[in-house]
Amino acid sequence: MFERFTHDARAAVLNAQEEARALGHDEVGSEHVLLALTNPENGPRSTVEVLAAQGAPYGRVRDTLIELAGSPIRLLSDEDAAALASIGIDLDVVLSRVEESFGPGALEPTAGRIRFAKPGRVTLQLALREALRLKSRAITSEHLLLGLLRAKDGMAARILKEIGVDVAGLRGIVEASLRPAA
Amino acid sequence: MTDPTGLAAAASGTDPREGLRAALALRRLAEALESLQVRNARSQGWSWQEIAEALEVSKQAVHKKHASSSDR
Repeated sequence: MFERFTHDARAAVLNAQEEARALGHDEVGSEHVLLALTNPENGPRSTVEVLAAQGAPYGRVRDTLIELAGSPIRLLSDEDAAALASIGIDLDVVLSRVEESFGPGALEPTAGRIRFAKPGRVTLQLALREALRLKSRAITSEHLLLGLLRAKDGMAARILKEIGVDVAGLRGIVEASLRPAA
Repeated sequence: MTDPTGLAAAASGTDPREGLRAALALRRLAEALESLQVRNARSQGWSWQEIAEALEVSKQAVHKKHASSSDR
């Protein structure tokens, strides 16, 4: 199925893994795909623009994600190190001992392989379905977004609802943008 | 926050905020170490039963917590 994704859509799916990693989440879900679709630095221009215009720019989506999904785990924050120092544990010493055996970054929270959680897989399937429904051979970033909107119980939809985005309206705008210009 | 002496004094004292923060940091460190060592054990062929015994928890608990991240 992945070979039918356009370059932009494929990049967004890969970037979603980076978004998850940066948040300290070890599974990629629809919320991270949504985040990738809003990221002005590396996201698809079309979805970045339409989501920002609907009141869901990257920063807002990310803040809401953290609010709903819990604070990002950051083991190695300076505050953690200071707190450990206060009870006599030197985090730097612990890390260097562990890294002697397991290599740099071994204790990072997402050192294991990131995998697609079920919601993430559902996201890809919904994107495929949207592409079929709209009679497109390729699966684009717009189809990814439409798929996210379709999964009403998904984290991505919950985030947009929390922000106050008109989901039905957004779907209409995105679908209209996909129709071939007359 | 950046004054180590002040922090140390606070946490070894009775300020709950500082003491709880230290407990939180310790838990994060323990979780990360456990996750790393479970992956290490699995990659060296340890069974879930052996890992559970080493961690003094049930096999079900350790499998539920770690199976997804170490068996892929």
